This record gives sequence, C-alpha cells and structure tokens, in this order.
Amino acid sequence: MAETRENVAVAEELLQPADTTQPAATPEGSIRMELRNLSVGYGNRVVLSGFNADVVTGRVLCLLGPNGVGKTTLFKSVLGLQPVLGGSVTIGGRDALAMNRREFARRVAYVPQAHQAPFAFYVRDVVAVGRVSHVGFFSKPHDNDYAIVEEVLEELGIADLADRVYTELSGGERQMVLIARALAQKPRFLFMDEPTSNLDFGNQVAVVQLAKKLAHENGLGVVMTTHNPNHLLMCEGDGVLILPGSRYRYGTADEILTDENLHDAYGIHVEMLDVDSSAGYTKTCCPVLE
Amino acid sequence: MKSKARERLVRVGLIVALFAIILLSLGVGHYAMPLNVVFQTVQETLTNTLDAQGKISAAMLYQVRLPRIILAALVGAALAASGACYQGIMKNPLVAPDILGVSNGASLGAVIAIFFGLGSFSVQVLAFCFGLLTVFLVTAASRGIGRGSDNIVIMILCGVVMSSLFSAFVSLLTYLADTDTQLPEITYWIMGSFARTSSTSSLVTLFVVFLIGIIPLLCIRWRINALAFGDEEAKAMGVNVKRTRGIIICCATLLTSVSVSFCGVVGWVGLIVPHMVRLLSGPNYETLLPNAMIGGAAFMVLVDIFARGLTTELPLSVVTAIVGAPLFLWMLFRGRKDWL
Repeated sequence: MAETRENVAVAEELLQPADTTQPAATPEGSIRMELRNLSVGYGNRVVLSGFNADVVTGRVLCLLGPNGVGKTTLFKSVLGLQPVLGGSVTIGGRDALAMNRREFARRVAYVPQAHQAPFAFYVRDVVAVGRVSHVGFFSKPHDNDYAIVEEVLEELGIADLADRVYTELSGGERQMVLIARALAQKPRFLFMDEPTSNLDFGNQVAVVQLAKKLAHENGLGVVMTTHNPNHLLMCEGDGVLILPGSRYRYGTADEILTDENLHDAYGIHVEMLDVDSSAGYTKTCCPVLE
Repeated sequence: MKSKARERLVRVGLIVALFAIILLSLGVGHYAMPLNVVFQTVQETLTNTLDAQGKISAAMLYQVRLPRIILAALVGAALAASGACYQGIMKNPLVAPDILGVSNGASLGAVIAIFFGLGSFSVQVLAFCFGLLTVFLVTAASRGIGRGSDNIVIMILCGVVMSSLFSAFVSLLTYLADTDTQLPEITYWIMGSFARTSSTSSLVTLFVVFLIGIIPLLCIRWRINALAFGDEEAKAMGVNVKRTRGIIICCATLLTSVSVSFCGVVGWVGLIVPHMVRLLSGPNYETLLPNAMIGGAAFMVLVDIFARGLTTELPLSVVTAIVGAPLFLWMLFRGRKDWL
C-alpha cells in the first residue's frame, strides 16, 4: 500500500470534477490534497499543530482518536468551516484556503452526521441542494441537475427514497441521503464526519463499505472520522491516529494500529489479532477487558 | 415526481382561491353589493353605460374597495413571504416578523418619525432601519445566550423580549404625544388597519417597495433550501452564506417594515401562512415562496372581509389573532415532533 501512495505523482489539478460514475481513477488522473504544517484550534487555543497528511483520490483516509483531541476541529478547519491557525492546505497544488466557497465545494464535499432537518423536505429536494455550487446565483436546478440527482440516488441504491420525506427516514437512510447530496456536488474529495455514529451495526458496515467503494471504484478521495479502528482495516486505506497532547501517527493501518499506539490514544489495553477472514483482511482490533 | 404535480396543483388552487376571495371581498362592506351587481358594474364600465346608481357602485368599487383589496393583498403577500424567508434562514419554523420583534421594531421607527413630525418618506426609512436593527439584536442576543448555537426557544424568547421593549417605547411615545395631532396617527399604527391608505400614489409607492423587496427573494429563493440546513452545511455546499443571508434579511425586513409603515402591525400572517402552505405543498422554497405570497394575499383579503364586513371597522390584528391563534395551536399539535 505504501508503495502505491509514493508512486502517485503530484498530478495537475483537473479543473472538471470527475464523473463519479466512471471506474477507478488511474494514478495519472489522481489529485492530492496536501495538508502541511497545519495548526488548528479555537480562537487562540491551538488543539493540534504541525500536522501533515495527504489525501489522495482513490483512497480512504480514516481519522481516529479519542474524544477531545481535535478530530472534529481538524476536519472542520480543512473544510474551511473554521479558520486555520497556521500552515497550508493545497488541492492539486492550488491553495485551497484561498478558494471561494463555490470553487472549494466543486472539489470537496462534506457529509455531516445524520441529523434532523427543520423542514420536511422531500429526499429529491435535499439531494438537489447539493447542486448549489453548480447552479447560477439567481437560478435553480435544471433538468440536467435533477438527472444527476436521480443518477446518484440510483447508484447508492436509494432511488425508492426520492419521493419520501427526509424527516421521516431512519438514521441509516438519512445518512445515505446526505452522502447522495454530497455526491451530487460532483466533488473529488468526500469528507465524512463520523458517518457510522448513531447507526446500527449493519448500517455501520454498509457505510464503511460504501466509503471504500466510492474511493476505489469512483476514484474519490474519502476522509472519514470514526471511533472504530476496524473501519480503517476494512477500508484498506491510510489512517491518522490523533493522540492526546497534539501528537499523531500517520500511515497505513499496519503502521498506526499497534497495541502501543492504541493504548497511547485510548488508555485501554488493545490487542491486534491476526485473523483469516473470507473478506480478505488479516487483522482485527480487539479490546481486552481487565 | 409526485411532489412536483402536487406543488403545481396547490399553486393553481391558491390562485383560484385568491380570485374567489377578491370577488367576494368586492361585494362586502357597509355598502353591500351582491356579486351580480359587481359584475354588472364592471360590465357597464367597460361598455360605458353606467346609470346614476351604477356610478355610485362604480365609485365604491374603484375608489374604495379595489385599492383597499390591493393594499390588503400586497401586505399579506409581503408578510407571508418575509415570514417564510425568516423561517428558512434561521432554520426555525416558529419565527415570523412579529415573533422576531421586527414588526414592533418597525412600528417604533414609524412612531418616532411621526412623533418628531418627519415626512412620510422618513416614516418608511425609519421603519426599515428599526426593523433591521431588531433582526440583528435578536439574532446576536440569541447567539450570545446560546453560545453560537441556533436554539429555537432562545431565539423566540429574545424576540419576545425585544418586542416588549419596543412596544414599551411605543407606549412611552404615545403617552408623550400631542393628543390632537400625533395621537390618532400613532394609535392607527398600533392597531393595524387598511381603512386609511387608499390613495393611488401611496399604493404605487407600496407596490414599488414591494417589488424591490420581493424580486431578489424570488430570484434566489431556491438557495434558501441550502441555508435551511444550517450555516456549516450551506458553506460546505458552496453557498456564500453571509452574502446570501444578508440579501434575504434585508429584503424580508424591507417587506415587513413597508407593510408596517402602511397599515401598522398585523400579527400572525407571517407565521401561519407559510406553515399552511408548507403543509399543502412541502417546504421546497422554489414553490413555497410564490405559494406563500399568493396564500398570504388571499388570507389577508379574507381577514379584511371580516374586519370591515361584520359590524364596524375592526382592527386587523384583532381578526388575525382570533383566526391565527387557534390555527397555530392546531399546527403545533400536528408538527410538534419536528420542531422542538
């Protein structure tokens, strides 16, 4: 895995967002989002500093760490939802922090946690809102935008939800609708904020599987915060483990998911077990009760 | 696309209702005219065959009833549209111009202008400025109290506080006002009435300001959907939140304050009309805003029928409250799960 990452050339940024229905992006077509020497926090309080990581299209990056170490702060700072205190974020060599919201939204989409909307929108209208960065300021979505909406719903297998009311859906369904809305943005990168929280076991696995598919088959660069280290193993991607005291580990699952690192992060005894599953992954993370 | 067909059906239904209510309204009042007389008068005007009795009817229709109906329709459309917009950008289905305190703020502005004997243009400008000031005070106070989160209940409480504060100032000015010249004019603002404003020039002024407020809102109405998901999500979807919300707040406040400066504080319309329309055709602002305008116009003309048709001239707010409060309770029962 590490070799593939090294081999990816720093590609020229593609101006046109990729068609997400296309098969895997080749390394030549991939884009790199580079986070360099990043400092994030609230006001003057720095939560995490000197942070470096790369997000590459076609791969999943899992963001792990205990509560309160700055996962969400880092996440929201990179998305431009709160000010970055220092360092740089570039997408394909372009300064992402200097982009306007529309430019940024065409490259990076955000999937919030499944929530209650204040109004009972139809699912089709929720997903259509994702087209806002492609629709003129005084305009509204046209037939081609609604075609993209249908296409995205179809792809996620939730076309039957189109005429349902968002507020009446289950948590898992709402999470899928929010992913559809982000995909309707036609981004290159997808930032998912704890997409598995509040979901039942089956829906958690379904969402992780979808994240992996969107990276490997649709060529998106997926960033996902999660509380479950096994999600990183399942995604076969890269991971960032943020530790208390503004420290972090960055690398492949094998590199960062060690007994010592997990103990350091969560203060519990964890054993990484070798398993022989038919799914192909060879390790699992098992907490040991004392 | 079931939803689209339904939205279209509701639009047609509302337009039909608006015209039916206007026709009904033409005949109602101190000088009652059955519908056939109304039609006959219009027909005779067109063919220029009015007799003496017909001329009285015509004068009644064109100089008294019609301007008043147009005024009511414009005010209803303006209040319903601004209520719908405030609800969207504050992602709070329980706010409205009167609940946010904008109406009372605007009426304080108008009363100050009257108290100091400024002209009618100043009445408009001050009403608008105070309305805008109220929106900022209420949102800033509720953000401060809620530590940055948009809490529905805190925002409503702040609106109530601002409303009472401004109405206290209005009372103070009323108390100090000259009983012969200023007091009648001020009282008129407090109660809300369509009885006075019917000159063509003032209607044209209202219409122009109404257009200035409503056209930008209609142009960017679909974007309110994005804002309804909250600032963070709207930003991440590519919306320039500050600019978009700024335009919407200015236009919605302009619509509210122009209504207030023409016919005083009329409560409830901005709250219940968007709700009723949402129940009928869904919350998508692409259809909600035009439907709320048509529905608001129809509701206001209907309210005006009761205000002048039952006994003597009733203050509008009395009628809207009597109709609106039970309706709103009923809607709270229906929608409570989603709101609080």
